[in-house]
Amino acid sequence: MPSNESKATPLLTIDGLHKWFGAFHALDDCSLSVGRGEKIVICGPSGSGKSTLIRCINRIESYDAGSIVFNDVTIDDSRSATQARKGIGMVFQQFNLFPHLSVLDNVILAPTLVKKESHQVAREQAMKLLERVRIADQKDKMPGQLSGGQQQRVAIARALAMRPQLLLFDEPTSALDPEMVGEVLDTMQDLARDGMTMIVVTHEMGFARQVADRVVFMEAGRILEIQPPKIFFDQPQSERTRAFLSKILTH
Amino acid sequence: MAEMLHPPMPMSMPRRLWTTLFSDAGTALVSMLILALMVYAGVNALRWGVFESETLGDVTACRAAGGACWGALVEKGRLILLGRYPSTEQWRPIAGTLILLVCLGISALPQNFGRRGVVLVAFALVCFGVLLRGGVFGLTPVDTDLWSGLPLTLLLSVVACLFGMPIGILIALARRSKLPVLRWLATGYVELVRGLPLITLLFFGAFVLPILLPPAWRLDPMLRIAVCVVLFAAAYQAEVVRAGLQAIPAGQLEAAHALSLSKWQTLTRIVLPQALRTTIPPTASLLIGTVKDTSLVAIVNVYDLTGTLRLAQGDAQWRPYFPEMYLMVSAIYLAIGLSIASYGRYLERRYALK
Amino acid sequence: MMSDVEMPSIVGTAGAVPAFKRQRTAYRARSVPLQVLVVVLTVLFAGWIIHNAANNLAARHIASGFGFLTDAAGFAISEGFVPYDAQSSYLVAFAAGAANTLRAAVPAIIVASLIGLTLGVAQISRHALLRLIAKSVVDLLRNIPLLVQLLVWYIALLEFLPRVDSAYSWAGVIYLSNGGLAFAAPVLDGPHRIGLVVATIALFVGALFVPRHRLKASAAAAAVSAAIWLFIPSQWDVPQAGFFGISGGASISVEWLSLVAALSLYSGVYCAEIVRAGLMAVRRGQWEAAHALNLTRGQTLRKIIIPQSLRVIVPPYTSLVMNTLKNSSLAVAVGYPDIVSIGTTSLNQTGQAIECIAVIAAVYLSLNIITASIMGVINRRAQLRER
Repeated sequence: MPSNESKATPLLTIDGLHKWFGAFHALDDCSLSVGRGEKIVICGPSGSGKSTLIRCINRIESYDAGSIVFNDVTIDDSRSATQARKGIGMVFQQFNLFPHLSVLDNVILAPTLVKKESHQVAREQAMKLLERVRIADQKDKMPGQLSGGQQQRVAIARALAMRPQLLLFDEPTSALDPEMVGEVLDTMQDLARDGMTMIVVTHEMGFARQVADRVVFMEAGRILEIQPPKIFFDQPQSERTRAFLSKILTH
Repeated sequence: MAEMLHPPMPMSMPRRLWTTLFSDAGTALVSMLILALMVYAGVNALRWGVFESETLGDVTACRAAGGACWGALVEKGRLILLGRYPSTEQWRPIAGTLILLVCLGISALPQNFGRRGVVLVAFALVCFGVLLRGGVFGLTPVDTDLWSGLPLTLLLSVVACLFGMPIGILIALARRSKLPVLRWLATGYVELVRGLPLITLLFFGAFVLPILLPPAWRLDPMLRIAVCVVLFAAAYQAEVVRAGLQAIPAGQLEAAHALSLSKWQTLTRIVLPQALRTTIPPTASLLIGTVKDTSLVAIVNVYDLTGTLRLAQGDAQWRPYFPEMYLMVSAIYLAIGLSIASYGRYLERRYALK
Repeated sequence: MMSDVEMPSIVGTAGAVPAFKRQRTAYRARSVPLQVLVVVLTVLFAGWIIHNAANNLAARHIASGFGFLTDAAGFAISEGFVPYDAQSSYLVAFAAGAANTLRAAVPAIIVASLIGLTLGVAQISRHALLRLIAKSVVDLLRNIPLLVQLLVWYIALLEFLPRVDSAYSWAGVIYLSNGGLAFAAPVLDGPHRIGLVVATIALFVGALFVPRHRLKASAAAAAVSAAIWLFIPSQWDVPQAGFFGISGGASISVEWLSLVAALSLYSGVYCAEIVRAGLMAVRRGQWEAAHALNLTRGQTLRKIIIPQSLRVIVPPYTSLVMNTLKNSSLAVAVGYPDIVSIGTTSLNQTGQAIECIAVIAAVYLSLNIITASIMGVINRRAQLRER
């Protein structure tokens, strides 16, 4: 749980972000600040700009106006973006494991190439992470031989291997068969318990209620509401949020 | 209904063959017809090739024989395989070819991929060149225009593949570059070369290239031919690699980006390994195509395996026995092609992404 | 920290875009010098080549340019459609060469397609032996260079066919020997000939517009045009076997025969692979659905599978057509006067190497463009059929 002190110096500050895809206004003046150790869940209808927002944070997507400050460094050119990205891990909807590398090599790749860690050190670290996501016994398999849930847990280990200060999750359970959603959410919950700062785009409202410190609701490229889960789910402020929640919570 | 407690016994091989060939009357009829034809052809082939053949390298004996004249190969085989290389020095192309083949074989093993394999093949090419060219270590110098036969076919094929592949990859990358000028140049080059027959390029190398270079540069004709074959192969390789690059999902690039890999690291560790894996089958066909294409140098009076075959045909008294000679040359090309194809299938299985 | 919704219009105004702008300029700053460098290097390279060429041509006393095209070519062309004699200009010679390229490639493409369809279907036949034979033929012919196959055909025709003085003849209207094939041809004066050609083309074009029964209509058109070509001419030019060989009639050379045979088979086995891949690309469920409807295998193939596989077949078939056109350049190895053969003969006579190679290149590139646009139309039809 974040302390008051860490909230005072946010890890990440997004201010007035705008993005256009041609004539489509994908992000419309989005601002958000995330404290160290804080867990943010972003939800909203599809096409609302949730994924675009978190993809802007590590510059997979460029943005047209506004600013992003990570760790007191403004991400404004490619050098600062590269620097910041080393502290930000990302987990994708489609896992995006490298299919030509074994599970272990997927995890080792970035530490050895980017951080220039020795193979030995990276390997030990990777084994610890694979144990943490409970998949160490599959280390020599190729990604194609694993189930979706297993692949996603490897992807989490791969992101953790860079020892990020912030972890981004872009709909990590949307591409999974229903019986595999649980194992991935459990892993994420473990991470949250260990104090990792996380921004999670997801439709899993149960996860949001249990894990999130704050829930962000987006629609049509705008951030409409940011609330602690208790308030968000029990007394949502905006009409849109209420409509959205009633649609997805009736099932 | 009867209970079935055991799975049915698997059918034995002859049983299975029997049921596939004679499952019903129509199928049986077709099978019988084809079998009869095959037996007829087989018997005739045996009669021609074995029982009534003549293995003596003597024209009168061959004329007397009713079947094949394998003596023609005894007489002309050396000319076809080694061509015009001075007869007293022919151990040199043989040794060079063996070294080249052995080194290629060793570097084709997956554990030798990478620097070791490249160094090995480069070493083999240097050995080959020194052995055939001579002029050092007490070897008599031999001009490149006397290099011929199978050694030349192998040399041109290896050079075309070895240099064509990296150039092709570079062109493919240039075609996908963010810089429009690079893209246009690469696209123009690929489309131009792929639009023209190889023979036009060989004539270009023979007649036009000397005009475009300073008079002082007397490029060896063999080198000019090799350059043309390489540039031709590169354009086709570029197309194959481009297709492989296009097949890589955007998510792979995003993941590499999110892990802070540099552009170079992403290219060499993520993009190319995957692109090259997906392009193994078309690359194998391309290599077979390149080996076959080297035969075209025979048209510009370079005596590769096909060229020496034409040379052997120049002898009028042996000309009636051309089927034997063509069979030999075809068998060599077939062996090369089939080995590349099966090697390609082996790599494809080994490096399958799923 | 709620973000109040503000005016969206700040994007594009001066104050709000620094990040965006900086990003863009960073990208430009790196790429513009690089591109300029590439352009400068290319221009320098081109300049160097032109400089060398000018020097070399001056040293050899060769005037560059295409002026020689109107000079008399002086060499003979053994066969072809285009009226040509030794006094004709190089331009006419090149035209004759280009026509000869098509004269060999077009029949080869037609025969190759038929071979490809047959072998392709045979490869997925339920007769194991038929599959085996088809596969062996394809593997064998694909691995032997076209040039070797062409030389086999050429020497085989020369060696195994009888000499001209003892040519095979059939009813005195067709003669076959190692000098070629001679056959009786209708004698047609100018307008007569044009009329027949126009009528034939009209029949075939008309057949293409018959809805549904296009194939049957085309066959009927072929039959009718064959009949009018056979019965309308009043006079026939019949070949005569004489003391000095065969005179009169129309003739086909051994060179053409061997080139078309080799090209047809070589392209045919590639076409077989294309057809096979296309047939296999149709989902299994289509076979099962047809089977469930009690269609026979032949009906399923004709009505269900082949129409769907066209979508997959047409693009690689287009490259096959282009490859066959390009491969016809091997004609030069057996002395058939195609564009490459004529071009290199002209090159040797005039020394205008750059120009002659350029003409050859231009011919092939234009043939490619024509092929691409024709096949583009066919491709669109094949794709539309799916929906």
